Amino acid sequence: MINSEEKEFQELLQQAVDGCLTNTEGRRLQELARGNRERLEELVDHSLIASLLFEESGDESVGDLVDFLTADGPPDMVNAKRLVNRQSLAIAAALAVLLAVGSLFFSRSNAPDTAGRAEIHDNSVAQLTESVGVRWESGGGPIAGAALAPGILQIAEGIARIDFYSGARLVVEGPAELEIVSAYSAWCRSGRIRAHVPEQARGFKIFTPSFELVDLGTEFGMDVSKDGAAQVRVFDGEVELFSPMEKQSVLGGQEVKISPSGESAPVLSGESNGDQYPTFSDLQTRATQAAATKLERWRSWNRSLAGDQRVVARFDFEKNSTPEAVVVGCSPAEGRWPGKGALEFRRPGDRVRVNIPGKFNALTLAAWIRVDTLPQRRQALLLTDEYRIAHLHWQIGLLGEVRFGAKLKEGVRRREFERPASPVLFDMQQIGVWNFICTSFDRETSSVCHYFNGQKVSTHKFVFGQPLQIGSGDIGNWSVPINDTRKVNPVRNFVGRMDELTIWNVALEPDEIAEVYNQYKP
Amino acid sequence: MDLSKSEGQQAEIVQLIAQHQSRLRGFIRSLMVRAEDVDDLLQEVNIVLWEKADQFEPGTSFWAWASQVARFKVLNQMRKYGRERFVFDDEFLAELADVAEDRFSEIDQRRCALDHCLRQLPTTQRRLLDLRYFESRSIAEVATSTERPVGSIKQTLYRIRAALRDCIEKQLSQPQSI
Repeated sequence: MINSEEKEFQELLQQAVDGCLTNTEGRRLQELARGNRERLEELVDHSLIASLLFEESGDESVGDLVDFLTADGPPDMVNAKRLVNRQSLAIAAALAVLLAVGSLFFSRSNAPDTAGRAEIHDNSVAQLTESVGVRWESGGGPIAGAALAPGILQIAEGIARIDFYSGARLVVEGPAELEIVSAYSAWCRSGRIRAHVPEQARGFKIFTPSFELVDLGTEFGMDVSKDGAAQVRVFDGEVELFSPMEKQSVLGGQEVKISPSGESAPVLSGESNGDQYPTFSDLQTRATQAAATKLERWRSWNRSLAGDQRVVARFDFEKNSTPEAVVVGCSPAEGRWPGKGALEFRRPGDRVRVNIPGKFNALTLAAWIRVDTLPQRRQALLLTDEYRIAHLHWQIGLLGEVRFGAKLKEGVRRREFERPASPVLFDMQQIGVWNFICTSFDRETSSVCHYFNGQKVSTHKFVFGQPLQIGSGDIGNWSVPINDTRKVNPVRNFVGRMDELTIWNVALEPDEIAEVYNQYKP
Repeated sequence: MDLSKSEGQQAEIVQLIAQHQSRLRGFIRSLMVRAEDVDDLLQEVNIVLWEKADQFEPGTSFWAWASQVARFKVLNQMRKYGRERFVFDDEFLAELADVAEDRFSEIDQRRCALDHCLRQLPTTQRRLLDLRYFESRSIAEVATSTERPVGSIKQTLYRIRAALRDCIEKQLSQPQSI
């Protein structure tokens, strides 16, 4: 039974952590906790947990610090100016080293701070190289190009190619359930597979419910049904099968069937159905066909958008410079599909200069991008020149979050800027993968929403007293004022590819954004 | 700061300051009666840490030094406010700061444990935390969107945090497996 004083303390604690203590309440809280270690600990612990939870939301502490140390867009503090004038070079140098070792990125993870120079760790062991018509059992699932960490892949339908870092390659045809265990092993509960295991990956293993297969450098096919019964055909080379019952070698040209309990028997040539195993060339053909169909569908949609009154500006990157978009640097590249134009941004000066007049009470920015490097610093998506009032800034933040912002009024303190950030979207797994990012702004509902691959990932209150503008700006970079007194040139160049960017004068509904993603994803 | 310090030393200090941002912010927040000035105060602490970096002896605990700096800043700020509004007194602040310094020194382990504990929460509780903390909504907004009274939201959040607190302690007392 909680006594009334305890109850009072709890209520004051709630007020302290989630509300706002009045003078009287503060005084009483102090009175009740003074000299009482248990209550002091409870108070601190609740505050600590709340801090950690707030931090989960993409807390800006690290970003703030970098802003503060470099005093670049936006310069947050009057004090920072003082500091930067005196010490900007030293700090910039120190920060450059810091960013180079990736420790800012690392500092958010669970690393104990006793660590010296931190390294970025990657737990991936394979890559999803190709996926044709794949529907994942769990909805989302990885996208072609994604790095794969150990874990279970459940393919409801479609066909995918997985390249293990050991050099082993698998084609998997759904329905299938495969667990990636390491660069040298996988667990197949069910599905049809063809594996190519080069000399470098000799010893690559596949476990199934009824046996274990060790590859000695070969190409083989495997068909595992849900009850554990399986069939293995070796096309070339040799594999060893270990079951609870026995160990046996299967040589090129041979095929065996294995019962759920692990008993094996040869498959006679008359009974063989060699076509049941997927092939790499078949996958490639299907991939090429699927890409061509999708590109054609996208092109027809692209043409139809020319008549859409809601589109303020659209860059499809099918041609080089257009009057609306002057390409500075950048290299032509391949987009989401073979034959789709894109621009590659790599050098610090690469950018596309745009000029988009108008004032907007609602906007949707949507782009298909392939980020080719870990963020670690801000990367521009679309940044208007300088830092002018009501001119939008759209970029990827230090931690891999998407930020949409604009300056509210003159001044340099943080509260003069609004820049809601999405959760962290770009991490190791997203490097080299085509993703669809989208941000909408609606003055009427005072909101900004971030979307990632068609899904809404965050909604923010964004109270802005005036319409937003774009005017002159850069895609993939930032043009800072020549007479910038801060003397530090903020680096904002995007590193990766972009093959489409559209600006709408409405806040698109979640359904429409999901539809655009689903129809035109790679 | 002594500008003759090597680039490596400067980088190390910046790195240490960066790594301690979230715990410094949490530490300051836990000592303040009201939360609104936490960010400004944190920036002031950062400046002191940078400018007085030569007082920090490499190899000693950065947190011990940084938390002292932060504690001192909070104390000053409280004294400044003292005339206009209620603040914790020096003595109580010292008690609170001792506990906070200790608890926040293990924040990385606590964060780890919290990640684990959050996964075990029922969806409805997780949703409430998302609304309040992830989406940074005020208690009043959370109350409106969940159609529940403000008092009950505060109470529920308190209970969830208390459960998380127990779970974190349990996690921390288990032998480490790596």
